[in-house]
Amino acid sequence: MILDTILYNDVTLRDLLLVLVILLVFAFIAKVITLNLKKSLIDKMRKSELELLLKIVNYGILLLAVIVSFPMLSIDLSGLLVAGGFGALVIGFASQSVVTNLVSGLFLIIERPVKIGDQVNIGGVEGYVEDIRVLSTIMRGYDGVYVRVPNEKVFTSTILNYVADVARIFEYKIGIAYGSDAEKALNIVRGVIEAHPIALKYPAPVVFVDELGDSSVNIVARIWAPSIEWFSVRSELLLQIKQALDKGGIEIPFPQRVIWFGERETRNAPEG
Amino acid sequence: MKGDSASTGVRDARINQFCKLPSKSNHTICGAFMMVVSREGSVGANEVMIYPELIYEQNFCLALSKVRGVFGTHDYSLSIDRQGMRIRVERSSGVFRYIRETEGKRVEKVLSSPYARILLHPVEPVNLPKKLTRLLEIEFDPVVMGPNSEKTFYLKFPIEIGIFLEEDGMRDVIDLVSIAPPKFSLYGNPRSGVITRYFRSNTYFDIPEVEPCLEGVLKLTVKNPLRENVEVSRVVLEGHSMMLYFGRFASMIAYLQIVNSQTGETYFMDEPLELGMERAIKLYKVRRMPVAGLERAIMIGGIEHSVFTMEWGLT
Repeated sequence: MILDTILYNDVTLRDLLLVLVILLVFAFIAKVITLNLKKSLIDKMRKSELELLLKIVNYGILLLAVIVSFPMLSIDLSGLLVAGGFGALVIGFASQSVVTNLVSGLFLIIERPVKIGDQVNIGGVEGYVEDIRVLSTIMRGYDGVYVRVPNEKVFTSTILNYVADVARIFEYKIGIAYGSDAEKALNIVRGVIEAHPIALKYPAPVVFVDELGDSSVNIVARIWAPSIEWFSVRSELLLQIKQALDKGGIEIPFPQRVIWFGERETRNAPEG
Repeated sequence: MKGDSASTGVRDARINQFCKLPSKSNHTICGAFMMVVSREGSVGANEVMIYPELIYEQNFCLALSKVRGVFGTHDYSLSIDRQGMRIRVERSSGVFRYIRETEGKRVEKVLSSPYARILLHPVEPVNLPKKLTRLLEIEFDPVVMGPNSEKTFYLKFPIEIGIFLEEDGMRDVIDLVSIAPPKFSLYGNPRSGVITRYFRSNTYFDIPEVEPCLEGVLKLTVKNPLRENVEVSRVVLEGHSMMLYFGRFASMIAYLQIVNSQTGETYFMDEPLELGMERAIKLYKVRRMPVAGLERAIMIGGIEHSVFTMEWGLT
């Protein structure tokens, strides 16, 4: 039979065809995997990095095909594998952190705990996420400083994402003088919050007398705001509440302590 | 300045464009000539120079403006002063200025073209004071829907006015204004809910009287196919799917299809509330976007309608 024709050594035409089939199957698998990867990562990675990743995956699968199939052609890759394995060991040690960052980056891209534009705290570094790359995440601190955080750190750190939820709550503690009308003050604070367009209607804000403090009656106001506007609402409202309380004649006292010296008793005491 | 035939042609075309007259309305154009001549006095009958600004000053085209109350098409004689909102076009130093004043805020823009028309249309009320959402939530007096029932009632919604500049068939928005008190809310939970533009309305069973600059009328039909009573006191509407019409006031027609006691689907109908109402210019094209709850479209009468799913309750 023609398939049993020996080409060289013990390699027949059948072996050659089998190797070709294996290569084609692996090439097909590589194509399917890279297409799916491209589809799922195209909006999550920058184009240049995605293309690099797709090439690595594609050539990796083809290399595997060669390793699997070439022994059938009496091509001994064991020497190459030993040399390759040794080389890989050396490169692996040298590029351990790079590989860790790369793998962490891929997991971050899949898990997406942060997005570009998010306001976050990653391992104590606070700011806005500007870019998520394969090896690192780029942030811009509140002071405008460029911060590059290795993806390994991002992956293993506690992440506080301030805008992951659509709405966020914040709280004010407002002290008013004991002589001021607390009910009136509560109504003023409620009115200011109601009038602010971005302080959310629901969940409804909560305003209540929290504590009879040493120097003041302490009112607590808890207000919800859209996460992306949280800071601006928080800063605007506090000023508006202060102005409204001033206008309403509500005193915001300094810390104070009243000391009695007992003068009255001395004055009224019988002489001699 | 002597008008040769070429410049006369350009001039006539400009006037026709400005006044939207048929191309051969020579009689009307001659009227404009006469007004200009009589104003300038010294200019001879055969030496007429047309200044569109002068036509503006004479309000020559005022009668041709298509205005219905506040909304409609205006020329540069536009002057609106309602509910603390003042919109006008002024001419100073040889240029036209669009000026809008509301509550101490002033917006001023130079209009380079003396021929453009100004369109005031109600637009999707999800833009002001900031574009934080594309959803409008209206809370209203509770309505208990009986089993297998359908009820139509009317709600008010806040008005945002889009000011468009139209020239050569091109329309561009130059300003957005609203005097309706703005408020935002959260529909759903903070984790997976959505921010909405909030508005509180009474429930009306006849078309209510509204101040056109402040409020519009939403005709809402609630359909309850369930075998149980369902209370409804809020509706969340997707802004980019809104179909606004205007006449005496702005209007929309929407439906709320109850799916279960906690869930409903809302969608709009592209129909006027009253005969003769005109379709408003849309700021946004209808397209399905990845908004939580906006998942699918349905076909009604061969037309695709975007559906917003109210999955966080109807009250």
